[in-house]
Amino acid sequence: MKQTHAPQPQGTTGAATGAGIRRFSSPRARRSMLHVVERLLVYGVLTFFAFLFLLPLISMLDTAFKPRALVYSFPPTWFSGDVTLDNFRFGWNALPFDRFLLNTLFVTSVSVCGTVLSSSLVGFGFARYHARGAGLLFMVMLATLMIPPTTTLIPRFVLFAKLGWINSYLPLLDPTFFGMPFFIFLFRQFFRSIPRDYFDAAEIDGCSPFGLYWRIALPMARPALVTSALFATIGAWNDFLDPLIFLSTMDKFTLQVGLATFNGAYYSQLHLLMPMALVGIVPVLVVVVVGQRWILSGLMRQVEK
Amino acid sequence: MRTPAPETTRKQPGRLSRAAQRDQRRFYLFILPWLIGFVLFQAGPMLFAIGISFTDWLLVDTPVWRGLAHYRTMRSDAAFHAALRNTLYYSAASVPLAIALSLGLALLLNRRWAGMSVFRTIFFVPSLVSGVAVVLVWGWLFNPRYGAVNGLLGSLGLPQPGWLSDPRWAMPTIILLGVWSVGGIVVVYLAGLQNVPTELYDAARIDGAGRWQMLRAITLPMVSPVTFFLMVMVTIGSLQVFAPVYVLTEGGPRNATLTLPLYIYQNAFRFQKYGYAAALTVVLIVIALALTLLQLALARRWVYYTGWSGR
Amino acid sequence: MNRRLGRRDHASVAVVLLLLLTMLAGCASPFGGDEEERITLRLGTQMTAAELESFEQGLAKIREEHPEWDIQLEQTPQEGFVEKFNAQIASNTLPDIIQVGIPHAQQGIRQGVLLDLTELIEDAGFDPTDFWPGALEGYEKDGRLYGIPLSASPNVLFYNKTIFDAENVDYPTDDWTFEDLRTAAIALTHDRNGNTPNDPGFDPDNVVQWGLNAAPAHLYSRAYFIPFGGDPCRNPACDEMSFSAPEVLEAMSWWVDLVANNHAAPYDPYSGNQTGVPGDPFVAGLAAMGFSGYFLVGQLNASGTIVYDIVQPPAGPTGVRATEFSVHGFGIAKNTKHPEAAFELLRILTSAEFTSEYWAKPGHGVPAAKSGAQAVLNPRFQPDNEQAIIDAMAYGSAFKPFVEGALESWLATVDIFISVFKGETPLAEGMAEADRIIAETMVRANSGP
Repeated sequence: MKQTHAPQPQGTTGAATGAGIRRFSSPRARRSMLHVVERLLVYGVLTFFAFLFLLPLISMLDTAFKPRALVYSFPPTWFSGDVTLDNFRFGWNALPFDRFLLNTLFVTSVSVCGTVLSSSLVGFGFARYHARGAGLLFMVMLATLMIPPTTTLIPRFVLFAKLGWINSYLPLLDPTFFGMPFFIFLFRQFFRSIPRDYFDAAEIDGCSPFGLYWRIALPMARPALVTSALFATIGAWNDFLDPLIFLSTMDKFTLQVGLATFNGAYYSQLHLLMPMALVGIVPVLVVVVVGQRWILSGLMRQVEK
Repeated sequence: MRTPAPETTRKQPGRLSRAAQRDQRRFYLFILPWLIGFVLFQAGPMLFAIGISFTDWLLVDTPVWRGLAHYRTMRSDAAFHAALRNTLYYSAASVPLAIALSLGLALLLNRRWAGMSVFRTIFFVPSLVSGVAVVLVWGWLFNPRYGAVNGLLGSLGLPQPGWLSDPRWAMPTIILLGVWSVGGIVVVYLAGLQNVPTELYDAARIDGAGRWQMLRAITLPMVSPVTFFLMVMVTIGSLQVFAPVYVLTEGGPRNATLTLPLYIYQNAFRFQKYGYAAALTVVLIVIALALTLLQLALARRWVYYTGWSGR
Repeated sequence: MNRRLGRRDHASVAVVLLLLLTMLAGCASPFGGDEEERITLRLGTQMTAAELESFEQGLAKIREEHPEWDIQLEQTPQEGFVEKFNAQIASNTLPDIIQVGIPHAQQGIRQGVLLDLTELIEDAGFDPTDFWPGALEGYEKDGRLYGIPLSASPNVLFYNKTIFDAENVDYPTDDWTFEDLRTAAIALTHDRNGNTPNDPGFDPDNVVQWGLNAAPAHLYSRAYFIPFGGDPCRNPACDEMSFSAPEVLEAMSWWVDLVANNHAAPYDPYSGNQTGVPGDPFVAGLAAMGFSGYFLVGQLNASGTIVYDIVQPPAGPTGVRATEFSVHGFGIAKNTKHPEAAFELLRILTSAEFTSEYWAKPGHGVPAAKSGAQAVLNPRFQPDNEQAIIDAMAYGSAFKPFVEGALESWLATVDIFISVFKGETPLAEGMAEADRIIAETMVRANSGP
């Protein structure tokens, strides 16, 4: 019966309009029937989508673990039952993947810190303060997302070459410290969802603007913080085009660039690419699981309050 | 209320105007990091791209001024027309699909039932797998002859479309592939749903509101800032669709999946028509800006910010 | 009060900014190291992991023998090569020596960023005639040479021995003509009832085994036309093409016949009728024959599921044979500070010794130097008849056209070929349309501005 006290306003299934009104008068048995039906439906829909969403991963797992010969056999044999770790061993040794992983870890951790700090700061500015030109600047900021990266690639490369930044991590890291539009916008929206009274009250109590950001806005937008940290992690971890173009020597390569080395114009070493791609997913998967826990624990706190 | 008082208002020379000025100062202080980054690293390449759209440039020599020639070329460029059509088609189909599906999934997931965290993680997984690996997997799964998808449909006695090799099916297939990346949107929605104060539901329940009513009166308005954010972002993103069409179809068959970003790429890096690619980019930006401004304008009607007036 | 607060938040924002900038500065990686009198040579490659593995072994040996060089290997995965190449051209930062295929070599020549090697070759007493002419021509323009090929892999006819055995059809030979090919292809094609195209009840919509996986699917299919006397290139530069000329139409109709009337070859624009791409029927063991380059050897041997051999491409009615190369090679950046050293390294990298040892033996391709060709003969692995490759080198040519606008012509006409093979557009009409588009999009080499 605990569930009835938890917030479940989002039911889209069975519960007809007015069910809530009759809540206390309707017989217990019928209610629990409805609950069972609802549970079945919800779990059914979710399981269907879960299967759908796992398809590519299943296919990758299948490829990674099957003997090399079967990887290239057509029509593909699914789950031959022949499981081997050879692909992982050969893949790992084919290229310096330990180095790639370390590099990616470095790039990702620095850019996540940069992204979350700078974007929340800028997002707070856009959310909290009105100023002349704010709307225009906001549009300009969004406009930077509207240019295909391929178009600005060449001018950016020229710029970074002039600065001597080619084959360093600076072209990858520097944008993260100046606020990323996607995250700025995300933070702006979440800060705007915080009732204004909180800020006004704090201001009257003598809180500085930076204090408003640091002590009120950030703690209250914790789901947004965790969400953007998650996204920034995935974004940096999987970033492909920029490292591909701006890094030149193998000792600097990130994981994604390393993986691309298995892929040739005529012939791809899929039996090595897939297992190594899977290895590359593991760290982000850990971050996601932990991150989701955090969001969830935030929910718990709210519920228990 | 929050609009800065014009300088000319003499009636309250002190407080409001000074407060507005102070706000202005603080605003620029907070957004300073972005402003610096924009001026240093983004404005240049952006303006360069716009400028080069009026020229022919072979990367090595000085660009040759062509005025509006590239923009005129577009009028009779059938490939451009196809790309424009396909991009708008993709956008119009994939944005509502992604928003509706992810909101639905997020609502289903936003429960304290057993196993929900597992589902959340599963839905997010396709967003973690990136790059070549996953696109190759799509190629296998949707291979008309040997793919698992058609194998499954065949065993169920359903028709087996040619997917990416059939001009009629190619774009719908690309749109379908986009569904796999809604996991990220679901996560944003979940974060948004958790920001909704539970007191609101308690109060509504006391008032005898049903679930559907609560969804419409509380949940949707409360997550509307998130919905708005996602709509703008997903729209902009949908106009940038590149990776799947680049890897899987190269725009074919019969230009059925040629999108503007892909056509821009082809012009810049395959055809050495950098000026034309830049002009196409300008068109793409104009479309994206127009759609974003439209969304911003409509936002006033349906986006609800707690206790904040206006945008 | 307000003012005090204001100052405080100025300060805090400044601190945060400072913090960010310090972190940023902290990641700047120090460049280079000991700078003595050594010559730094940047070597740009676009290799796959397997190619790199053996190439780096060879490079280690060169480094040992030439301590005066500091060779910096700059590797770009093939997916990003086009972007990087163009960006390096625009920023004037091309590596001293750069691995380029033919289309990009020609682009670099047009843009004037590749060094004309003609004088260096003469001064060094270097003999370019040791390279197969078909591989060399991709690096030439107006009689000047701008690069040296490292490997060139001709398309040859692969055949699945298992299928031939099962159908009791004689294996192809190096003496085959295209009519032999057609006869065998028809005999080896089956629908799901076991009928061949010659049987009355044959069902072309449900073919389960194809005789041949090949068709001139697009512009770059010269080798399919030349044996029939219908080369679509109108001149050696191939900056003018015609698919509607009578002899080209006749050649094309042989293929349309094979696909549409004999039903002995599939037409699948999705796999591009290329042999060796995932999903192609030859690799799947569902086609008895297919044309492909040397890279397929590595792929087939890796899977080990197909028992196969190769022969030369068949001869046309008048005995003419043709094939096309996929070519790797190196060029030198025009702005290099060390043209002599760069050329010396280029010579080593493309030498018969180096390419035999570090390119052919590991199975990456066939040396472009004639004197290295024997390295491709490998008795330990399939195929047995590697001599067919060496024989095909003699008449192989680079994929043409490679003039400006060629890629655009190719993309713009690909659908026409599809619709002709599908029988939706009459042959002559479709090819006339292709010619119109090609004339519009392809730039003639001599018609400069």
